[in-house]
Amino acid sequence: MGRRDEPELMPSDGELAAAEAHTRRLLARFGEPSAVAPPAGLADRIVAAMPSVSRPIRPLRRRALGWAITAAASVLVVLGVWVTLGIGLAPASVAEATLLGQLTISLAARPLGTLPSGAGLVIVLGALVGGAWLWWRYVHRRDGA
Amino acid sequence: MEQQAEEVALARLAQAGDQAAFATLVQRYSGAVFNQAYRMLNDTHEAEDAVQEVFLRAFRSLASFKPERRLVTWLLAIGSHYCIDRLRRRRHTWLTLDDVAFWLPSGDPGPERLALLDERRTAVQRALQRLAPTYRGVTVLRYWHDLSYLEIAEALNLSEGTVKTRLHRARKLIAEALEAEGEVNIWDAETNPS
Repeated sequence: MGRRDEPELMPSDGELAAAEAHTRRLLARFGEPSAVAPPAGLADRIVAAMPSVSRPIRPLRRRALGWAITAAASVLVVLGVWVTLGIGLAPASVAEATLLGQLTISLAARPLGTLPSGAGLVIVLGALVGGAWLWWRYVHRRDGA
Repeated sequence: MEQQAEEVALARLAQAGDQAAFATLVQRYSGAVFNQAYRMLNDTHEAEDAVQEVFLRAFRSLASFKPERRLVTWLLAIGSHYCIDRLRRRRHTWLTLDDVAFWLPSGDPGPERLALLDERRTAVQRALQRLAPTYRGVTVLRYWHDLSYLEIAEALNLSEGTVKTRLHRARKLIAEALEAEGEVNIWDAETNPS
C-alpha cells in the first residue's frame, strides 16, 4: 500500500520512541498540541443544514419500494400486451368484482391498449425495463454508499 | 467499550434518519473535525466549510461505518481525504506549495484567531503549513488527535510502514522549520527538555 516513489524507512523501535519523545517535547515548548476553539454555534449550523439533505431511506423499505414499482410496471406491461394483441377478454373484466377495479385497470391499460403499432409497444417496453434497471442500480448504489 | 457501543448505536439511529442522534454526533465531534481541518487548511472559514462537508459525507455514508472502528477515527479519515483534496485543488488553482508554506491565517479576528495569537503556536502552525499535505495529514492525526500508527494507516489506506516513514520525515521538517523560526534550538530542546 506504500508508494513506489516513497521508500519506507525502517527505524528501530528505540529510534522511533526517541523521535516521538523529541517531537512531543519540541511541540510542548511551543504550547502544542493544543485545541483550537471552533466558531461559536458551529455544531448547530451543521445540524441546521442537515434537514435539507434527503433522509436516508431504510434499506428494507427501499427494497420493498423497488419491488413494488417493478411489480406494478410488470402488471402494466402484461396488460398492455394483452390488450394490444387482443387476447381473450378485456383486462377490465378480470377485475369486474368492483367498479373501482375495472376503472383502474381500464385506465391503466388504455394508453398501451391504444398504441397504434408494435413499435410503440417495443419503445414502451424498453422504457419500462430501462426504468426498472435504473431503479435497481440506484437502490444498489445507495446500499453500497 | 461502552462509549464505542453508544457511538455505534447513535450511528445506526442516525443512519435510520434519526436527526437527534445525528445532532448528538455532530455536537460531540465537530470540535475534533474542526481542529483537524484548521490545522490542515490554516483558514477558519475553509475549516468550517470542511466540517460541514465532512459531516455531510459521513451522513451519506453511515452505512459503510464499521462498528469495530472508533467513530472519531472514521470522521477524521473522511476529514483527511477531504482536506488533502482541497489542498491539491488549491495548489492547482491559485497557489503553489511555497505559497501555502508562508500563508498566514486570515485577518478576521474570530475566537480561534484570538486563541492563536500566541506567537509560539502560530510558529507551529506555520511549520505545519510547510509540510506537504500528505505529511501534514499524518502529523495532525498523530500529534493533535493521538491516533496510533495503525489507526492512521487504516484511516488513510496506507501501510503502517508508510505512515512511519511520512512521520519520520515530517518530524525532521517540523524541527527544521521551528529552528528556522529562531524561537528555539532543537538541540537545546533535545538536551534540556523543559
